Amino acid sequence: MIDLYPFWLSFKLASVTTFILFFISLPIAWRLSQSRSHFKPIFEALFSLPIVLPPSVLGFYMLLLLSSNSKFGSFLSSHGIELAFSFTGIVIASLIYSFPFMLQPLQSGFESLNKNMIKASFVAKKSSWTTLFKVALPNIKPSLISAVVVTFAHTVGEFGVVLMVGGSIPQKTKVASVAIYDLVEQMDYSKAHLYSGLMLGFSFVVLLIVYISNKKFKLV
Amino acid sequence: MQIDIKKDLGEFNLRVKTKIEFGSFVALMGESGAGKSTLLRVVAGLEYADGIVKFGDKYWLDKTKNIPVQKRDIGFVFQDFALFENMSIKEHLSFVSRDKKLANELLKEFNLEEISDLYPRELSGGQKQRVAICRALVTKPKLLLMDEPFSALDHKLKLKVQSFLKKFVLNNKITTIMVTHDRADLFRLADRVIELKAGKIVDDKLKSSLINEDRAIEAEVLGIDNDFVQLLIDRKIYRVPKENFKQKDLKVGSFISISFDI
Repeated sequence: MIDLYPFWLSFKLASVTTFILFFISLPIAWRLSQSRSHFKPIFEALFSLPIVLPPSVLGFYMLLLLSSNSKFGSFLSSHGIELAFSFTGIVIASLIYSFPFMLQPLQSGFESLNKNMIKASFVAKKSSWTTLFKVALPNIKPSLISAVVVTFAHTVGEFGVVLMVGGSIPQKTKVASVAIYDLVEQMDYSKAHLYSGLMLGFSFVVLLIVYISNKKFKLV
Repeated sequence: MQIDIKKDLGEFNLRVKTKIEFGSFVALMGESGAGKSTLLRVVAGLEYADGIVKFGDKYWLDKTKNIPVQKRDIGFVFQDFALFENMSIKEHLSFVSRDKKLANELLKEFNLEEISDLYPRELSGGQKQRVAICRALVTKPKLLLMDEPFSALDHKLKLKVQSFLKKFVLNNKITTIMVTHDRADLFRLADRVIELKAGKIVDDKLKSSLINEDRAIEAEVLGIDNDFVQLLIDRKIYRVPKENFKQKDLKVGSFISISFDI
């Protein structure tokens, strides 16, 4: 009997992460796209770190930060909040790990817009926020779809960070990618094949959606 | 209005110092790359420069501040139109102004009424340009800045748009600065002509003095028949009775100097 709970957990983790990241990344991407500051590359490099950093390194530091041995962790612990080896903990880890996958498509989408179109909105006395929601965002639909879908898919496929921060606790932190790892360790290859096949199919469908939507919007 | 600005443009410095009378219509001329568009953008607050921009008794730019474009009460017609791709023509006007009556009037005057539900991707260059002008006018700004605003319009439509524009800016006391390469536009609209060269004002005249000086205009002879000579002046074709010409050796393709009453 196939246990679908890890898939549900992966789906839940990816949905929550994508939802929160969208609202965190949107103003940052907009601000970066408008900025001409000399400090901009520093922030861009900092925000891109999770792409190049080994997940185990990120997971290790996240675990240290969230565990009750650290000042931050013990502060949370004293208020009854345990983040290490919890679902909330892996959500926080995913937010950091998947951040650039949401930020970068949004930023490049905003940067590809006609600058004068944005200025025209400012000329019409519209604030930066109104311009973001009424002019910029509706004109970067392909980037928006890419950002949301890729972040979701990337979070579903997350393994290292989730394992380090959340461990493999059934019905709590054991997401699909971790479940596959466990099955391989137990040498249960038939189930590992099944789980992997489902993940493979899912990943393909997600990428197909991205390419079809990009093609659709380019043709308009 | 007072402008006294300095900006490094790489090859040269944009250095403009002038005063513009409230409610006047100024044409900004000069070769490509002379700094005309940059000057407009600095006045609008879309680009930064050192110096002063003062409108009425308010400093928009000085040593201590650079007031954001949203607080300058301007209209701007961009050279590339800069329309909002996600909005129909009607939505463009309702986005920038609540004055529905004026929006409808402008749509009618600019022959856009029947296509007001179309989006920029469905419009021709001339239609886009008219939308850009409408969008700038519908807010009744105190200062109207236009960067080659008629370049995509055919002659007949251009005359109609210019005639309405002239009345509109006069009635609403809108100070206007327009970048143009077309001398005919200048003569039809402007009160004053400023010429820029490599970032500096090299000529600054009232149109009346320009007309007196420039009575002799160059024209290309396009065709000759028994009674008329066809001339090309400022991209416009004129048929002039042959008896008006003293020259007997007119040749098709040649250039002649003629008197031209505006």
